[in-house]
Amino acid sequence: MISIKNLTFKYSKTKELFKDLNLELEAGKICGLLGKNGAGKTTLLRNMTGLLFPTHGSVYVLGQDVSKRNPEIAKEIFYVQEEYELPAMSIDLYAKIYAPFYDRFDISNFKDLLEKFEVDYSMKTQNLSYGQKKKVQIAFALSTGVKLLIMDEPTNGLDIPSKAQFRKVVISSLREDQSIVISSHQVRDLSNLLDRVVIVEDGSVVLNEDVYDISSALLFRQIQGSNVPENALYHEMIPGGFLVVQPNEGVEQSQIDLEALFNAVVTSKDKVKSIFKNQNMNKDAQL
Amino acid sequence: MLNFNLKRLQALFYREFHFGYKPILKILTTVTTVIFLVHFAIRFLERNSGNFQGNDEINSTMIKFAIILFLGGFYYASIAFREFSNLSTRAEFLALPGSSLEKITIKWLYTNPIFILTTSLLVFILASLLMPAMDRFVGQEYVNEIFTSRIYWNLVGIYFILHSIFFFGSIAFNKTSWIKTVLAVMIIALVIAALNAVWFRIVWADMFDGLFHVAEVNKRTEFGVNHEDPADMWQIKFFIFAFKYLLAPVLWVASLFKLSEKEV
Repeated sequence: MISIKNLTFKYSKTKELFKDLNLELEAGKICGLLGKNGAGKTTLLRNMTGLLFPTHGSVYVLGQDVSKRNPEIAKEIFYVQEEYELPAMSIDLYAKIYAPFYDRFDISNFKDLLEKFEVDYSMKTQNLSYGQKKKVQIAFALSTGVKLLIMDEPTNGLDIPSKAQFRKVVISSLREDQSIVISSHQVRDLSNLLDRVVIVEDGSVVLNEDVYDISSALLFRQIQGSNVPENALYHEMIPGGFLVVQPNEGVEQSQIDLEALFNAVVTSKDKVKSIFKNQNMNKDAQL
Repeated sequence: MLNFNLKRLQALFYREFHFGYKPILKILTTVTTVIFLVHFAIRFLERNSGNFQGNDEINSTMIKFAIILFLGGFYYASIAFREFSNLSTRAEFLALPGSSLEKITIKWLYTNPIFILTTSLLVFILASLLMPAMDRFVGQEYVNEIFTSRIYWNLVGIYFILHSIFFFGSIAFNKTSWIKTVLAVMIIALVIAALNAVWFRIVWADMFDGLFHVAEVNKRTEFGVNHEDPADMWQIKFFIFAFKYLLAPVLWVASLFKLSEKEV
């Protein structure tokens, strides 16, 4: 679905944001793109949509170079921006204007999703709150039926019930041939939603693994008392004890805590890399 | 870049109608109507004063048409790609399924032929409604010139060509492209004029003989000695040819490339 090869990118007169970044993402997955502020998440998403051109390297989506901006590929990609002001008009007119660009746009699905998000279809966009506008955008994006949906901080501006609704809607709307890349720094909003986690740090991808492989390789647990295991990759104090991320040496699997995972990867980058390298080697050997 | 699909073109046309043409049409109608009504009111109030005798009132419809077409049209052309003024709308427009050629075509259609037609029809209708009465106040007979006179077609031709400059400026400059385009044109014109002067001075030094000695030759005031009429010089002929037939197509192609390489 997405193939990024040796991507080097820099804005003019600034340091390189990415240096020889490589990333492969397959179809039918929901992928979370995590990174610190300024790590280049939005820039990477814009490279994936052809809105920015690589300084070196290439970005292929559905087998085509996105920097060529082929309309046949563009109609299979929808980019939900972090900050986007919907044009002032009725939601109905908005749908009428933009739906014809997407062959598989489903108006009844759009209305249905808006209903789930509790947004009245007959309203005008200028009368909607920030969160409601975001919901219109997400509902429209999910109704386009595109093969690649790219969302930059989609949960910004959503209230707590809407975040849960967002997760539900995304999971229920996804078809097998569709992929979603979601960038967020509010990692808790993405819990139980992702199939794959990609972490970008210092201009390169430091983690790109399936959640199943992550929970096989790493153990996330809360421990009572003050004894942090020696092999802990990351620990943080919680009431009554610690939240610990450590190598999973057994067969037990735990619920992934994305925030702890991110911190573990950032603080113990090399150790985490070697754990996944060993796991992948074992998997290959078993095959 | 050069893909062309009628369905996408139709979608882009519909989108541009709502985002670009409709607001401009409202402003254009209001401004044109106000201009005609103010003129009508002045004529009516001073109908017996005799102030409007003479040449002042000749071609007043064409003057109005020219002002509206050039000021309104060049402004509209320089905001043709108004999406670029804001990062998120720029991203939305660039990510929209449609080739650069399709996007350029639609923007060009609205800001050039459709705008010319709209302005012409507006002025034609208002002039047909108000001018006969206005002309009667000063004892003139109203003659419609829109669509029929040579001046009209000359104005349209000049707009058709100069539009391409502001259209290109609209893609090249994200914000305040109207002012930036005018400034850029002035600077480029000055640089070209200076380079031309140097070039002509070096290559055709003989033409500058007696340049500053104005002499009457064959009852006509001409520069230099034994020189032909400037209108017959091939350099001038080439300049006119380039303005008429090369400038606009070159800028259209440049616009196409500029849009293709545009990033957020």
